[in-house]
Amino acid sequence: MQEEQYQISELANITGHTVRTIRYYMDEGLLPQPVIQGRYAYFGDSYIPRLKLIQRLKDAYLPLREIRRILDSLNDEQIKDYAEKDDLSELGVSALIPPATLGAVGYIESVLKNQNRERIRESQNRQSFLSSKSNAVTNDSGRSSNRLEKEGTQWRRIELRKGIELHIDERTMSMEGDKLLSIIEHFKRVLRSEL
Amino acid sequence: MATEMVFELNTDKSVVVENGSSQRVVELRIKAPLKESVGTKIPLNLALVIDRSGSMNGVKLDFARRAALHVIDLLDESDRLALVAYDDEVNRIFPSVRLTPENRADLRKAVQGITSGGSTNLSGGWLTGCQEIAETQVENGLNRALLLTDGLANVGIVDPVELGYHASQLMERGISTTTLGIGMDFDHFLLENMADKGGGNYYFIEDAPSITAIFQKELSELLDITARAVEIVVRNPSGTRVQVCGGWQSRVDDSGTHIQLGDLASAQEKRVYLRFDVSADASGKPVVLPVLVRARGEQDQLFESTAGLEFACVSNTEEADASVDEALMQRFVVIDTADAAHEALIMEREGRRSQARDLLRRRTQVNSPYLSRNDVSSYEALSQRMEHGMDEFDRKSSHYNGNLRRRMREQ
Repeated sequence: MQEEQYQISELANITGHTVRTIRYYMDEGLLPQPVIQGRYAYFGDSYIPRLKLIQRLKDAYLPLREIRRILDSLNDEQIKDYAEKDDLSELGVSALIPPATLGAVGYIESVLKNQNRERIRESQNRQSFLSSKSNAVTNDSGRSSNRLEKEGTQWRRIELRKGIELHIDERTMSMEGDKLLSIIEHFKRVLRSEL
Repeated sequence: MATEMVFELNTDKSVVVENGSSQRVVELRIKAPLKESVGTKIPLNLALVIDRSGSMNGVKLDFARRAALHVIDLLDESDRLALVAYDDEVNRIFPSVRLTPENRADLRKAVQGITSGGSTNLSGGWLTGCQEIAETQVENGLNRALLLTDGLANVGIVDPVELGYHASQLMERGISTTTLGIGMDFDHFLLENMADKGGGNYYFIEDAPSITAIFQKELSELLDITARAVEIVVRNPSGTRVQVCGGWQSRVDDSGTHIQLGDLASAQEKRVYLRFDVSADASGKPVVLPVLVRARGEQDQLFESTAGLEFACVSNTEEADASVDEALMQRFVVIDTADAAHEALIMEREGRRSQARDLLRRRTQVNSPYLSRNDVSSYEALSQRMEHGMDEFDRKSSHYNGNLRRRMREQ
């Protein structure tokens, strides 16, 4: 299917932004450069959800720098999803207040998720502090209930339920934290529903 | 037959100064309908959230377990209960279930198995309890989390303002929160704020053996509720301002000032006081104050009732000479002085002792014409203790007595 192409004024009309704002976002790197054909610049469909998501992140008082970081980490398909999604907390924005349209279940999930994310971040900071400390002090036995060390790799142990543990190495934890969080939540949910 | 909800408005004087400003005291009196008949009740959907951090170990946890067993006994098959315990981790001891005989036995076993652990993830425990309720939310029922703790929130969300905000958001989504603080180490302002914002009650439990009695009190109130989600909307005209006394949760929007009273038990009565600031113009037209109250009844039916006050515009001297409703003023100063004491107690805890003393002393003096002699001397004594610095028991019990007064709750 042929993608729709819009001129800047049309895009402004559709999305409720001014032409000036759209130009400004392009300058700031929030929007990619359009296709130039002759005298006109043409913008594809993907600009619409992108502008919508930018607006929502702005409404959550996020600085442009942070918005750019988020947009850079997403592909067009994800941007389209997030532009419509009620809950944006997965984007790692703790300042985001859950939207008023969320029901009680969604609201609590979003607050808990943000809280867990903070805790992982805190424990990562603590861990890196610990490891820098153990490098400095020789003969540190590395005594820590949450850590298993083996050939320089550090592992985190997460108890899903009594008798079931998940072991993740620290580097994967910091790189894939978000995915792992949802996996852990999912596991816990499944295990709970067995009760 | 169920009686209707009673709703009345009164004021200290029914006049205001023409072409000038005046302040009136307005009293809103609400009485919940009588229970329709024995045996009917709103279904309860509760979560018991129990702090099992290290400090709860021993007698406190022991009595918490007993209280939980008691709660199980008081509920019937139309009710649901979830059990959550937390230290630095959160455990769903038992997911939300209906109180069938079988579940009842399993719940009792689960309660016996709660043991104490590490530090205090208050937010995680509380939110998990709310989650259990949310997932099984009963539309026409009473959905409430009961949070029992003896400590400070030191893991998870620890900011009192943020916790209060979430409590109010959950309240708007139909889940209320009651908080119960035990011992001397919890933050009474935090727990009171969560209950205020969360549309539930706050309790200070001095010693472990009283836990059961307090749970009994909360439960019997819940079992007796005949008006849910009571809300007052004060539609004050432009050029006037409304201040809500007593620390009730309120917000202002285009339609007026909304005051949340939470849930009221059969024939329970609340009086809410407003300071009403009026700047009247020279037109001489009376100032009208319409007020609306709404609530949900036992059968989920909507109660709605309106009342209004009319203030005639008069000259300065006529306003000064107009007769005062003395009985109303005597009731008002009880709340107003308790409000001042509440504020002063916050200052005292922050170490601003002389400011705390001055604030309370001044308000006591202003209100003394209507305050009982007993109250004047006990507030005098309290302000002196503030000056010297209070011990934790005095802080908590003075604060709690204030809460009971401001909310017109029984001792």
